[in-house]
Amino acid sequence: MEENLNTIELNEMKEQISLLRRKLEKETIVNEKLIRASMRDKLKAVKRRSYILCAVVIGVCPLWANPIFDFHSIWFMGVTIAFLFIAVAYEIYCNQLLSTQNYVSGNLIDEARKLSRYKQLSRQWHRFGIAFLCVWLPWFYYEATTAAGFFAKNVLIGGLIGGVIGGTIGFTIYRKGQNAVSEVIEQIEELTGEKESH
Amino acid sequence: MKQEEIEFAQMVRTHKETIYTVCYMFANDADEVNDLFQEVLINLWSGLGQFRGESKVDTWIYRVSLNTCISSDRKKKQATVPLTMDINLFEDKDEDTRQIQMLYKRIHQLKPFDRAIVLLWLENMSYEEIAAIVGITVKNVSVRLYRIKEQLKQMSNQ
Repeated sequence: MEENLNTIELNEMKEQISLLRRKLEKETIVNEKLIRASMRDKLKAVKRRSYILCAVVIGVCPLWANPIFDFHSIWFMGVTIAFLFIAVAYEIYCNQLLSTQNYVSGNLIDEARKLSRYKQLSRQWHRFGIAFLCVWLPWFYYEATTAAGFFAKNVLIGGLIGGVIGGTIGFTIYRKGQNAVSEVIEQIEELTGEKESH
Repeated sequence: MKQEEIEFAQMVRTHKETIYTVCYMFANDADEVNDLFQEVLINLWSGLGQFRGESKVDTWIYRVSLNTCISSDRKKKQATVPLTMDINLFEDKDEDTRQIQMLYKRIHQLKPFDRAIVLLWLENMSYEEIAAIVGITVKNVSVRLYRIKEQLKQMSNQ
């Protein structure tokens, strides 16, 4: 098998990779500033997003309870706050799968499988979120137009418009992220299939 | 700087070619190489405490680099500190860079795991080492490499 692999293409590639290494050896590539920045930035972007979400929810909850919004329905406030807390809990749970600890000792397939599981959970959450919003938005509109006071009404309608715009942008970003890993997920299935057949 | 930080900086400088090569082969442009490189450094630093020298340093660096590049969600990020490079392997036109671009084109057309397997093979790693890093059997490594060879042949014929 090894002999078969020594084709012109692969030999040529070995020479090309040596060339690349020689070229890179002459370059500085990493500077002091970059190393220091990396040592400071222990937090992965995805975890940072979770912490931001937690901070937003904790910051938003007192607002909902504020008398300025003058809601008649305690149920509306309760359901909304419960949803936000569930969102945070789910996000934290999903992020357990993306622990950098696995990057150090785990193999590529296991790590990519976890990524695939993370994406699957995110997809399920977005489906649930959209279904929830379909119920929540009309309820919100009802609260804003009938139950709330004049000032709160304007704030809430502004929030509703902002929410719809934000939701659309968020969904677009989410779709892009989902598509990006589909190639990896496809290949895990292919490799797992091969593993089982040999 | 603490002793651990000095050692980390030294390790990164010693293995910069390995990290760069992996990031380059998984990126679509120079900005993405920057982003991936920085992400690899963050992951290496985060995992440094867990690295107990059970495997060789270069194997560990390959593992972390490949895991980072394969699992990166490819959202457009902006690296906070740019790499220090006098060359641009995506745009330069000299003969050496042309050869490297040919290598990039061949490897980049492969699927992510095949890219990882061929990179490790090109670094003269044994089938056992490749199998351990990727998470497949030694026999499967051999089968995959055979298929990759066929794919590369087809690419050359096109």
